[in-house]
Amino acid sequence: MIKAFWADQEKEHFAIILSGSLVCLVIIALLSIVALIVSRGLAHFWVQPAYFVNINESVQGQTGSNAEQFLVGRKQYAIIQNRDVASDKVKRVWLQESTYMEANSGKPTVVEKSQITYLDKPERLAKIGMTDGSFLLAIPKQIQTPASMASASEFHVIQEQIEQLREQVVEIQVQHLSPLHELLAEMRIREVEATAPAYIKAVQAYQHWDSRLTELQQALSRYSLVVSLADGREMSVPLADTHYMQYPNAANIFEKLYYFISQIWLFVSDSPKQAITAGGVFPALFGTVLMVMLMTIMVTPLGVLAAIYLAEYAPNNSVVSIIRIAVSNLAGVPSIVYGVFGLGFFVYTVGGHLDSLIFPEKSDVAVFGAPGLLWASLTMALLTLPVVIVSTEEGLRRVPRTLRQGSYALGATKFETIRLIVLPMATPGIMTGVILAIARGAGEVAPLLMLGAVKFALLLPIDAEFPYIHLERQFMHLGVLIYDGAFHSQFGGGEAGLMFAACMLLLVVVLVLNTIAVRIRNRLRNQYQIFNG
Amino acid sequence: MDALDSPLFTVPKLNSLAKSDIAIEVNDLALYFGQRKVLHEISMRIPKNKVTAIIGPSGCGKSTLIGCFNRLNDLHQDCRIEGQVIIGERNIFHHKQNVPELRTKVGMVFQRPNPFPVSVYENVVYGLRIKGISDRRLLDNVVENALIKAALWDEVKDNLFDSALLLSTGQQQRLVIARALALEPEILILDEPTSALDPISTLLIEELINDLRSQFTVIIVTHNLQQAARVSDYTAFLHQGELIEYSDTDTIFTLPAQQQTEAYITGRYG
Repeated sequence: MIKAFWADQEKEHFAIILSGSLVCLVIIALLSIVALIVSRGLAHFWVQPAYFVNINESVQGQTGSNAEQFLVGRKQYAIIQNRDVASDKVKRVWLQESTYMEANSGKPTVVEKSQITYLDKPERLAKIGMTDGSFLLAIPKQIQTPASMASASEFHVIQEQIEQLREQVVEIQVQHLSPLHELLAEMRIREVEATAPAYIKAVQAYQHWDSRLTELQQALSRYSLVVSLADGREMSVPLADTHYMQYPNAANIFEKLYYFISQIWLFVSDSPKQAITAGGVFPALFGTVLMVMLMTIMVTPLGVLAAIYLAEYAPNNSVVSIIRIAVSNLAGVPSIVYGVFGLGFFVYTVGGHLDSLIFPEKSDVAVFGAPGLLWASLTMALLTLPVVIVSTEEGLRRVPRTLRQGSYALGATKFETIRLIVLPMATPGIMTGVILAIARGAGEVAPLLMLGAVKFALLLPIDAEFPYIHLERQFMHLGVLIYDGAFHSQFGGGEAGLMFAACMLLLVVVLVLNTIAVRIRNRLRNQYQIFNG
Repeated sequence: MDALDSPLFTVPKLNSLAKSDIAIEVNDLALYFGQRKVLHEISMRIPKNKVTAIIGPSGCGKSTLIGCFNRLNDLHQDCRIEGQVIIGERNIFHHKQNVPELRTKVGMVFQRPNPFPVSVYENVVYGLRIKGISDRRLLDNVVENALIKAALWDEVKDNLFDSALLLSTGQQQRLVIARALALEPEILILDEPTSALDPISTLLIEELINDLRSQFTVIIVTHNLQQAARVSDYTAFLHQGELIEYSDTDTIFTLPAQQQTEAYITGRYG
């Protein structure tokens, strides 16, 4: 008797320990994913020390008539991407040299550690970021201004002057030149005489602003930064091309933090540069959020209406049971299948027919018949539809029968009861479905690859040009960026860091969208709390 | 003197009622759920502007019977009804009967208070909004009158736009009554309205029923025999789907004609 009792207790202990340790495993897995992504992602923005390296390279050369191997010393400023370069285990080193004015922009060079004969962190070595996203490692000497020579430490002061000049340039271009340009183009179309006073006036105004612009650009070009490179050469960099300058080896923690935060801001607000190895990912962020929002707008009414029919109106027979099973199974269809369906049905069939209806005179034009944001979000809406249907149905069933009876007893029809009582009370259930849909939709990449998500899109789907929302355009997506980065980046290359940063951003996007939805749901739940208890 | 004025001593006998004094006439009403016969050929006449109590043990068909009066039983898919229920000279089971309109004339209050999760005000005007009335002044008037009739006005007049779920259970039940009264029904059905309430709230509801009898025909289903004796003018005793006895309350509780009735009201049975 006692023995049996102990055995039972042991069994129970065992079960608790087993299930508890599995939970631990899940937590560890989750934390390690987040830790890896966040640490690698944030490291992408952190200031890395810049080195002066002296490398012995063997070079093919000729002495007289014989080809021979020479050992040549090469001096270089570089960022070393192996963090533990001091360790003995490291055999090879990835060197990220300046990408400014370089043909191999972005690609790090690999050298054997034994080749490095000298390694140093010069205090005065600066990283100079360019407006095109590339950067230059050099020691700044002085700044040439139209008036005089200034010391390199006045970079920020002079940069402000440059910024003012730049703003003037933009102002002239946007406010004066482009309207005049349009005016002239219109006049030419309407075949206005070249001697007409209005035409002459416009041409004169154009010439005036154009010469003003040239003056400004000349003024800008008179500012330059003189730097010395690793091999001792001097180089003059137009200050108008520079964006920032900082000293990675001399920076204190606050300067590093400032740089860190400004780099993060640049990452989320700027467009990609240097073939997506530098700059920001704003278009991808924008595309992701817009796609998820469009998807939510499409899937919610569809899912809710379908769920209302299934839960409220459909008779209780075997056909409806089969439909229910089919809906649940739809949730398990691989997303790539949805992608193929979207391409075959939406893009080629629906889009193609739309094109021939709207633009019957042009047979070669593909506006809706090409992959784009509209079809991508519609396909994603289909993909997430089952989740919304199932949880909405659940929400509808949870509305107490007494409330429906109360509504009927006051003369409401079934439709009015559903509209006024059942549906509002089912909103927490609907929101649960929407949350799940967002979580799935934001992370799905496979169908998007076929439906218009591209590595680089020139235009955003929303801009100031009529009709403002261009759903037929291709778009960028964080998931696609990550997929692309993972396949096309060399290990240790600049893209890898960017890829982790994009992963982190995607996690943040999903988290933010979900948090908003959860907060809405909780507010709704509080409103109807008494019936959920 | 007081005792002589109380309704118990002034109600006319059921069989001496004039046609115009009858609110609901039930003729051979039989009801089936699937194969099961729940109501067995019930015939009764419910007098106008009086309180009629329906008593009987659980599962005897009380709620099913009153569910016929506003056709709430239609919600059950396998429900089949034979016989007639005549309200306002029309058989409400006629296929041309407008059911939502019938339900605005025959109000119903349920066992547990079921206010909608909106404000007190919106609860009261729910039926009117369904009818398409949106004139603010009219709605305000209706809300005030209905809440005064339901003896709730003084308690909620300052928080009309707070959620109805914040009210106590007793207040919620009176709110539900006000909601039904806002439609100015001819008949008000109360299905065990006090079974979920504390004694004080029960007392308030009973006083309310007493006040309502001058304007409405009230039908109350109750398990509480004292309550039936206190508030009703007529009482029907149902047992296993059959109407055993139906008479003025005084007679039922003092001189029941049937053995079963006597057994039930004396507590020896059911």
